[in-house]
Amino acid sequence: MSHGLTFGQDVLDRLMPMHLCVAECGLIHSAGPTMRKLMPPDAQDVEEVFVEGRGAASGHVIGAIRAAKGGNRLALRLRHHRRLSLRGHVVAPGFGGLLLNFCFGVSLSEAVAVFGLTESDFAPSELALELMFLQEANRAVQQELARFNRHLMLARKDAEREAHTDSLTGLLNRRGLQLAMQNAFEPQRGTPGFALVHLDLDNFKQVNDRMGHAAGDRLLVEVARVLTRTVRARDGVARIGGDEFVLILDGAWTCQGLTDIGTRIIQGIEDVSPPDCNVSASVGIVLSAGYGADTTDRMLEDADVALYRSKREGKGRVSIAPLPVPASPRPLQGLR
Amino acid sequence: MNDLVSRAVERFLAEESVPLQAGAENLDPAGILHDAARRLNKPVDELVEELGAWLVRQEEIWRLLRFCGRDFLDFLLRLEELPDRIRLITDDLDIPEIGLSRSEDGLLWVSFSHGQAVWTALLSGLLRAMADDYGALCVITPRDSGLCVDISDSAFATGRTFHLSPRIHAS
Repeated sequence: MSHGLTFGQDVLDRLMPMHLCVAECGLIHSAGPTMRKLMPPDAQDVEEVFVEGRGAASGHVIGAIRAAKGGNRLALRLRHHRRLSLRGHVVAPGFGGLLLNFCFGVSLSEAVAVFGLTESDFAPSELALELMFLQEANRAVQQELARFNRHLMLARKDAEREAHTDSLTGLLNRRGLQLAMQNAFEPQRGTPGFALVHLDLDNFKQVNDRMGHAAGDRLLVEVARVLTRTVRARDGVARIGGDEFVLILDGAWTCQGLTDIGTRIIQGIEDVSPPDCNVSASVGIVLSAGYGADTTDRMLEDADVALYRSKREGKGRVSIAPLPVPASPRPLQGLR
Repeated sequence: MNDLVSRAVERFLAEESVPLQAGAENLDPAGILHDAARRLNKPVDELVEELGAWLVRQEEIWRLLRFCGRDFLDFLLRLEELPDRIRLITDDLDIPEIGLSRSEDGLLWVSFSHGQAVWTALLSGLLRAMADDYGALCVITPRDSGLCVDISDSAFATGRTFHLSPRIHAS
């Protein structure tokens, strides 16, 4: 196979629609049909069509072209669409001048969009259409998978919320309360602590006994409404047992402030009591100072002790636990 | 990937207003289709054929299909590539090899290495819809040995315009 081949322009156009024949000085002799679509109509020199690819430093396009004669990959960008990079190679066919052939590489889909290229702009031997097919197929599959993931995430969130919610009242349940207390102790919150309010309804048993459990449940829902109405959105409200409720009141509190809010809650509950049942509430409060994320159980127990003091002292009242004395010197968490 | 097939079948049935039966989510796509056909009181082949036509109406799938041929005849002659194309995207789907032959009377015959019944039904719906899309006039007949395609005019009407770039919208 040593005999030379001679191609006419039409053969070159069909074999290599993105070729370019240039003189050693950079003057353009001819260009393939797809290449002509990328060039300014009156371009006569490679400098008018291209700029050097990133990282090249010869300073002019023809320098980069000549440098690639040895077999190196030639990387150029279109002067008027610099996002579009072309890659190709250069041969010296022997009859003078240089023959360049290009493809779009990773700029393919951008080039197809910018120049509105069609299947006939590519040689049948090119993988351009397969690449575009694959890109679109991947995108479609990814979108579907993302949809699956969103769906799973929402389902997980629903399950989590259910696991932390009391189904009767919609308040937090015991597990939700524990998480809320852990969160309240998070050091990065940097808040000045919180108050934990434990309350237990007085005479609730009478409602159940006299009016039935449905009425009792209705009252619990009413009480939940009173509690959420009395506190702020950033506070936490939980039902942790039959008629036991716990509030997490965010921020620094004075004894007077806590007594006031406790009294308002008791009043609100008495207002929703069925007639002749005299439902009220006994309230015990502890401040978070002296407790930490690892002593939430003790904090609840201490609130319970304060609550029972209220019960002992005649129900329908508020007791605030004294600040605990730490067993060993340690910084008071949540205090500023 | 099988989840995607199930989802396509579910969406198709939803658009055909066939409510999914309780427990249907545990069935494979073939099971769902058989169940739906029984409740619609129509042969499952007919439903699968409608599924084939429905696939062509899904914009993303339509675009992928149009990448497979410049006109309907080209599309048909390159059907043999289809399993390899699908394997480019995923290799966990069981796609039969597709064989193509031309009889002396000029008819094109499409056959499948396995799953003859369901693929004949699916492809007859899909090919009819694609012929419409390309503007070709042809008769597609399911036979025992596969599909028989008789193209009488591959440029009967103006086909729907397809641009290689998804960013250029068909006018």
